[in-house]
Amino acid sequence: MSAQAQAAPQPGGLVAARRARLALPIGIVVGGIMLLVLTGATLLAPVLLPADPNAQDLNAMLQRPSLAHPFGTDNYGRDVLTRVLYGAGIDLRIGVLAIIFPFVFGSVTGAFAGYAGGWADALIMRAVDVVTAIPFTVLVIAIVAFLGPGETNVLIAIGAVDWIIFARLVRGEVLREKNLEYVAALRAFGFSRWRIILRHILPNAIAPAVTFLASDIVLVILTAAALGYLGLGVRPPAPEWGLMIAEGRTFLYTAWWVATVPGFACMFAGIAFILVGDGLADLLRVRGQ
Amino acid sequence: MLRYAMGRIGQMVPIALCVTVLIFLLIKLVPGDPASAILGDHATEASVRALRHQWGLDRPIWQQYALYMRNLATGNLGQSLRYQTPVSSMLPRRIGVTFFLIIYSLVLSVLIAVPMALVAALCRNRWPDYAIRAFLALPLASPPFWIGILLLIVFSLKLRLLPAEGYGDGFGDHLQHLFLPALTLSYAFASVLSRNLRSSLIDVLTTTYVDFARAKGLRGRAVLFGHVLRAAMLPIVTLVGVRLSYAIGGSVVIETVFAVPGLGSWMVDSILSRDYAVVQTLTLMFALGTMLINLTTDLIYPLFDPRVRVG
Amino acid sequence: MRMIRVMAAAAAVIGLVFGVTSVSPIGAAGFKSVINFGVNRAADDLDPITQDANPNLWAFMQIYQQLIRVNAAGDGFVPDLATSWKVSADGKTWTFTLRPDAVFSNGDPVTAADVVWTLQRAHDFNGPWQWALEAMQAITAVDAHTVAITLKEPFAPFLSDVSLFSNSIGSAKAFKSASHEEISNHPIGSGPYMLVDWKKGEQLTMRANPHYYGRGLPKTPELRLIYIPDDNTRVIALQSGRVDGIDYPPFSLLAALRGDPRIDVLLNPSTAVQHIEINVTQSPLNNVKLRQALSYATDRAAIVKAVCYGNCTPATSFLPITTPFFHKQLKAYTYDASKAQQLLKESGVPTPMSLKVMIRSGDADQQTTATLLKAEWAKIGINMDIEPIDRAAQTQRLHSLGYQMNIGGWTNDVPDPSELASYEFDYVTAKSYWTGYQSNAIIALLKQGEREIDTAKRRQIYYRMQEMAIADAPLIWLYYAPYTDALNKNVKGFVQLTTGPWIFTNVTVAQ
Repeated sequence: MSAQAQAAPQPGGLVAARRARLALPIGIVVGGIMLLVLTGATLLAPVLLPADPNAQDLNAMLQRPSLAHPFGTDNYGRDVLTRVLYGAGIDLRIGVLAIIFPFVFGSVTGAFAGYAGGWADALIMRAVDVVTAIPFTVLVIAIVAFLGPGETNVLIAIGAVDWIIFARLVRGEVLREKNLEYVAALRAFGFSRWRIILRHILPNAIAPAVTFLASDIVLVILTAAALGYLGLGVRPPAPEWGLMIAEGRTFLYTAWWVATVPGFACMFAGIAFILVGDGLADLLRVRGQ
Repeated sequence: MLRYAMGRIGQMVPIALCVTVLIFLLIKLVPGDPASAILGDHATEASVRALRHQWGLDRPIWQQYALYMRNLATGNLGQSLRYQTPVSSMLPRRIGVTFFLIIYSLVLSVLIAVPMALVAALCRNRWPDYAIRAFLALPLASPPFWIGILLLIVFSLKLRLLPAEGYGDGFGDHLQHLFLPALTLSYAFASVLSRNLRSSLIDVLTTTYVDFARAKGLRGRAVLFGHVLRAAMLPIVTLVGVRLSYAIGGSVVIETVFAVPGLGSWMVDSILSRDYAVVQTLTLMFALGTMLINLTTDLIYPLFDPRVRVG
Repeated sequence: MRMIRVMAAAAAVIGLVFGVTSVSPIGAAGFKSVINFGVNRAADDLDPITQDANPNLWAFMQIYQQLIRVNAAGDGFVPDLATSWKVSADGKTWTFTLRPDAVFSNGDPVTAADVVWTLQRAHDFNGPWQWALEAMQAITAVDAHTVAITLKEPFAPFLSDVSLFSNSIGSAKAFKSASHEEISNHPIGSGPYMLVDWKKGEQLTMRANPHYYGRGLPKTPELRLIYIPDDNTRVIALQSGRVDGIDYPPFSLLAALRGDPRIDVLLNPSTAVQHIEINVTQSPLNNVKLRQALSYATDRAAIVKAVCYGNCTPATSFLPITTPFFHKQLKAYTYDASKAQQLLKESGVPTPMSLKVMIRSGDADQQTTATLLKAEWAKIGINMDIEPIDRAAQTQRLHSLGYQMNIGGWTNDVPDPSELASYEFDYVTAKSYWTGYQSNAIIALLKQGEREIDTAKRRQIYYRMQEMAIADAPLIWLYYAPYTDALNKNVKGFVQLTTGPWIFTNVTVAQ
């Protein structure tokens, strides 16, 4: 690049220079640790707790937390702690798998739409409009009703609908970015459209999408839970957290631990993802400038 | 600008058509039909067949679609097979309820989110920031119906302060009945809103705007509200647009928990009982409404950031 | 200044939100004038002949009357619109004398012409209750207050069938040229209540029929059925005083409700039986020994404990306990794992094997039952796949016999075994409760049972039928559940018939 381009004022100015210390924000550290705990629990559960999460004991129904059952038992006499740990694997799997396609496909599509403008933008955004037109949960319910309940179908249904959020977010950012000076400079240097989009604009525009990624994983887990509530999600007797909450909600004020513990597990996982997501967003913001 | 708006409105028609076809196919392809659903456990094959014939459900699928569209053209929104009533007679009350709920929850979200985001952004990476982010993350990661039931138990059962379900009569009654469901709904949105607002606020606080504005001689609060918030609104505007239709979907389970007679619960009930006309009409309404919201969002962009050109 | 205005506005809003909740109107002498009753399913159709959902039936039973009604004990009949009835010597003609003072809610008197028109309509309509009047050949109005019904042949269950709610008497004048939609949305009956407002899927409001002949009845002038689908919310609505009573409190909360000094828990004897339908037309379930093995491998006591928390009874026969001719001494299936193993070996079906069981999505009791059975059957090498499915899709799979097993239940609508027996074993009605089971021997018994007037002989026929059905096990019968209701202690006079409908006529709610 020429000296002139380098000397152009970078967005951020004096404040950005101060922030260029690049130390990891504490959020990402805490979140990362939480995620490690979660993944560790998932992988080690079969070793630490060899008991079958589906083992019923009708003489031990709805028992309070005790030494034998640190989180109590549910209405089949199954140990809640074991089920929650095994459930971590299911929910993490659903959460991560379900957002890969939407994130990748949505971000790239949104970036392309924002940058290209014109009829390509119109076409893509109208397609987004059609899918957005129907409320997210409702469309997922309709698709799952069509495909039938079960984990795979839940993933497919969510994937088909979730990408639009990323598309819109990234497109919004790209619309702003593409008028900045450095883009004009890149264009002047003859870089191809796709190179500009993918290597230069997208990393700057991706911050809101990455911030949203964390919420999205949680949203996916909660949608799976909502589907479980309606009986259209993962099939019983799988110890999926949402299903556990749905099954335990009847006992919420007689045997609160049955539904509360998986709820807190959800929260734990959610916070972990959010902290990591926020931290990543902070990092990207600094580096992009 | 006006030409762009007119163009977009023109595009709404074919999209609405696509939506009706899409949902028509989807719902018809789902196994099960309203006749068996309604006739229930005591149904005989003959009675199911007779009812399907009476409702024209044994005609070819394109004919059913054509009939629906023709009715639509004359303002006939179809008949709810389940309730044996025109859709148009049930619609106004349901729309009113959901509208009230959503606006109520948006207001609550903003009331919660904006002050928190401001504090978090101004104190970023210090303890108030972490405390606020942790507090807001909690409900975001929790299943809404779980929060809803907890609120129910505390406020309705233990404290006997608020009603547990329904809609009530009269504005004050509505505010009471819908407070808990609106609060439950608002948590998740307030969380997302606040995090994105904080993120945008930080972005903007660290750019040349602020230095430029300060250089212009503006001070303190004027700088903050005048320039910072406006510039940070861009992704917020996107998010509200996206979340509005999201909110309706989010209200679905909440409406079931709190027995709120709105559009969301009606939509799910209708899918599950295969009440075709209701599903199609509601979807069409959502489609038009969402497209209008998106259009408004896109048109508002330049107001917040003159650098953005649409079209 | 701005802050003060903002705070004032906030205070006003908070005041509105947490303001005084609406007070119930006060009726006669210290009693409320409205009964608020929370229900778990919304009524959607009040036309007596077109559908079969309980919420609809139990709602319009407050509005309509029939010729005769089942008594509270479920073993006889009491006069309703007919004050007396007799049958001719050859058993083919029934004559009903109507009461002269019955009046519809629109002021028209109830006459024989209304009965004739209504029952003819019920007879002709191809709906779920057509079987109830199938034996009827002709119906005539002998005079303004006498109706004669001629049957094709003597029919033992006739009185039961004519008491069915689908044979509710409506106004011929008002409905003669009305559409089904009209009849559903604007019912005109002669019962104690009439419909005044219906917010579909939300609330149904009824008020006293001003022309009802019962002096001082109904005791409470207004009745509201409020739709609260979520179990927790409905129970909370009761405990917080928002409603005076609810139906179907979940079994798991009964103990807690009993512990609440303000609440009465009612377990009303019912005609309900829960079972598993088996598609006997497909391998491997067409093997009778496999079905018997599964029946022995089912621990009904465990299901009663974990699903009903001890409030139900294990099922022995296909008939509910409260139905006439229920075979008390029937040698039924017990929980016997070793016998199950033995039968499994004899069946020749290789294990381990998988079986799919459908349950209705969102139904907690069915889900619990399936989860328990999965663990129980795993002990004999059967791996169960639980398939939650929504109501409409489930019905379609059943009707097309595209399933292996399905958990379902039945409530008898008449105090007679013929209704359930024919639905369950008469192939032409419903493919033998959608199992595809065809036993000519049982079908023959069915026909005999309907024609045999002598009670003792009829009893033997139905005993024999129960023995044969148990042996062939086309269904696995699980448990009998009572109807559960929970009422505020200040509610008196609530009655629920064994066939299901509530009777609110004598209900009072003290302040």
